[in-house]
Amino acid sequence: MVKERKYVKVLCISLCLAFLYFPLIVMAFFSFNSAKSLSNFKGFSLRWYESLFGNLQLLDAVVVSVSIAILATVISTILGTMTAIALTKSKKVIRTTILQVNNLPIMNPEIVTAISLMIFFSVINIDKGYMTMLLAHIAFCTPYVITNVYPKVKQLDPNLADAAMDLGATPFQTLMKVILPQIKPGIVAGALLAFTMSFDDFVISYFVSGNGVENISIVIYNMSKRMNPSIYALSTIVLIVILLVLLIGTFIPYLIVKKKGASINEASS
Amino acid sequence: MKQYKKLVSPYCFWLFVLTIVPMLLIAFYAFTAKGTEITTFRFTLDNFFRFIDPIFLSVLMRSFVLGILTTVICLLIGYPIAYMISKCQERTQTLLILLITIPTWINLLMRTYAWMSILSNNGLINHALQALGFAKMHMMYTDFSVVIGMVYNFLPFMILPIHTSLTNMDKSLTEASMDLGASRVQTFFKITFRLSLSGVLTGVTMVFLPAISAFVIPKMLGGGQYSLIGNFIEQQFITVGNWHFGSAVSLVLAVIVIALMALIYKAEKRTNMSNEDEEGGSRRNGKRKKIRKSTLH
Amino acid sequence: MKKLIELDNLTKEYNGQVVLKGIHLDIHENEFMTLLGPSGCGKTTTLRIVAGFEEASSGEVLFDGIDISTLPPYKREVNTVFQKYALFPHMNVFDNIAFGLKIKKMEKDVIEQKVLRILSLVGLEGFEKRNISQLSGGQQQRVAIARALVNEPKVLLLDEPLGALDLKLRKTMQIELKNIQKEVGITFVYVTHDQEEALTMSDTIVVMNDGAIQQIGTPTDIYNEPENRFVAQFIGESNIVEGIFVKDFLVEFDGQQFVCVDKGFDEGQEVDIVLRPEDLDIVEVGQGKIEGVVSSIIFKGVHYEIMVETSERMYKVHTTDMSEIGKKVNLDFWPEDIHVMEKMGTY
Repeated sequence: MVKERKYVKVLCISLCLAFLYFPLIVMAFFSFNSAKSLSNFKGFSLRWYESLFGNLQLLDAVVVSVSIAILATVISTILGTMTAIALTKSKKVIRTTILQVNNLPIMNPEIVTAISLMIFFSVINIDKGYMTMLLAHIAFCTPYVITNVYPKVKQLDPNLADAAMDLGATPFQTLMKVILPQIKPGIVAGALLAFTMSFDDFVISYFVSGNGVENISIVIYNMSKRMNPSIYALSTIVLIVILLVLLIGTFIPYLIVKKKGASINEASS
Repeated sequence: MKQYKKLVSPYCFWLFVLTIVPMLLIAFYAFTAKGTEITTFRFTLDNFFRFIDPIFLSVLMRSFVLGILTTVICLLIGYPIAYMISKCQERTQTLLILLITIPTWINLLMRTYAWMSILSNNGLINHALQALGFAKMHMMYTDFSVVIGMVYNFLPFMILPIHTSLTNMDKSLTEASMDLGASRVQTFFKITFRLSLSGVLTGVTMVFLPAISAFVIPKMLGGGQYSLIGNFIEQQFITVGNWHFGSAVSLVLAVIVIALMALIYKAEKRTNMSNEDEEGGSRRNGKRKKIRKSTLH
Repeated sequence: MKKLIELDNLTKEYNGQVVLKGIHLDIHENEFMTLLGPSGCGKTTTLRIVAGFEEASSGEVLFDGIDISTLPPYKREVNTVFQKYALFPHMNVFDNIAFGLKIKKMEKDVIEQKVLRILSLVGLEGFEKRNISQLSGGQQQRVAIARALVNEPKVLLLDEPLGALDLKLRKTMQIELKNIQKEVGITFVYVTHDQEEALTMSDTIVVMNDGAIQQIGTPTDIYNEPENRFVAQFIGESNIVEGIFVKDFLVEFDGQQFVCVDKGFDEGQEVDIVLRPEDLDIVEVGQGKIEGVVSSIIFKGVHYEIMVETSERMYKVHTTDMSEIGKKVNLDFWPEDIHVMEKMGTY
């Protein structure tokens, strides 16, 4: 009876994972197809990867996506962290108002945020392009950084900052040596979220960019009418990069912890 | 630490310019119409009266039906999966949760694009059906393909919060319930499910709200003429060029979504509070205080 | 002794609520001073103003005769030991203690030398590589003290530093702290609500209540000659009786006149009189000063706490002699056991 239940469990979870990974596997598999078919595997080839690297439009889009994601992540992480730290010290009225307005871009349907920014840029007469896309990305990433960092700052023992200044550290030194190291997990989580949000964004980018500035999502959207296995190749590369980052990200801290643990054991024994 | 107080002003300015002003602009467009001269706008409620238009009402209706359908399917698949995962060993759980999260990191359009070719008339499924001797099925550009795309995209967001609420639960509660004579099934419905409600609520929010305002998935998997609110708004702005009506629809959508969110947040807070009470968090603290007092005097 | 810190008419308000009502206080070189009072009396606020974490609403803080009221904490020559230690969790013991020295950009080997010396002073040799989370409460306490002391401040401020420790450890640490103070020879300003701790360690005790100083004095002064009802009640246990100061060396209470050692009050002035329970004796009827009946006896370990009911009130007596409930007895005391105080509002 218990064993049966276990089989049912394994079966269900496997089916669910199969559903989630089926399209990804299909995508990766057919990116190596020698024919231009997404259902009929004719033989192994790298022709779609070659055509991907010959496709300037796609490559440009990769550059736009990556550069915007990096810039938006850096700026929104700095802005958000700064604000989160300041908020814990502000008056309650200011704090609650800002936190509530900050929630607006998170709760608002993406499409509403997108068109609100589109109207805004056209009213103040900025040409839609790289700059507007970057501004919009910072605008929707920063709230997520704040929601990740703010609780960490709030949990912080306020005496730690006092202690640092008591020992002679200036406010800036206190920030760098005591506060930031303490809230690092929140900052890293916020930055990662900001990066993936920015990198994956379609709706907002679609409405606020123009003049030929396109990110990966927009290019895929415009190509979706026609079949193009180059997109499969690109997706496969993205998938592999994510898996690599994940592997490095999971195993390196694990190794460090293991090493540290070993040295601690040595020290105590 | 009060030295850091000033750091809040840049973001104050930023929020005002890039969040509040754009939202006010939507409201402004929603309540106005173009005047006779190009620069004059006049106040009007006409944009909202246009909602009675049967075409718009059917779009609205379809958005909600599809949103509810997606949410229900995600819940029916997601809850059991989350429950089964929470019954695994801890290390397996971490791995499974990671496996469920990874697909969400891949560009939504890439994933949806993959579904397009799987479901298309010459796609993988029909290819397989033919090979097995069945007739081809028409799946692309139907409700079916849109729902598949939505469920596929949103399912992880249902599983994750439910799993969190299930693992955060004090294990001794279910043991206590069975100790007091409740069967496995009774324990599940009276204790486990009841205490995981906050996770369910979060999951429902994270699926339903993006689902009713979805834009890309219905566009790619539903085809050009397939229209949900999101697509309707896009048409008003891009093809029709009626920013006033488009803004009115956006405003109403935003109000509905934010109001629902606030309601759910309130409900969640309530269930969380009662959960804490049942877990004895607050009561235990009170007791501890009492004990400390009595030892002092 | 040289005056080191002078607090001149300090007041503090939070959102219209007055926490300090004009504090005047001189802190001398090499002194172990304790600010004692119930929670919310303003003692921690006073300490935080001296440290520079908070600014007084009015008044001045003079350090060596120079006004430092607006100086930020990192420019003051005082260091603080925090209530819950406030050790930096992302640094090990060595880095925590070296923090202040590194900020001052000292030579690496000087820092190491200083840290190791201070570690041996607080009895934590060999702990420098430990993580903060691996330390017990008492060890964290020592690190916190070392981290402050290593900067060689002129004044060390301690905010209820033993509050989180258990009773036994607290007793050992009290003695150890006192020894450390003697050894480094600097001023300690110590905040606590524990009267026993204050009496054990201090050179000077400042009793505070309700944002004001009630009495400043040596532990013996404070205990034996409380200036008012609050001090008498807060320090030790006491029987407080309302009476009249008849003339020098004579007071009247409970309908009788008694010889005392106090003088200098107005004749006929209403006063409060303190009789410490351990100063009262239970004797046979006819041999004492006040008549009464034993109403309850509680064994307290070292002594018995016996309540004696007289015609006027209930007296608390601490004695090592057993008595029996219902027995008629007399209470006896000496003239120097009567402490006369100014009468003030009831607490």
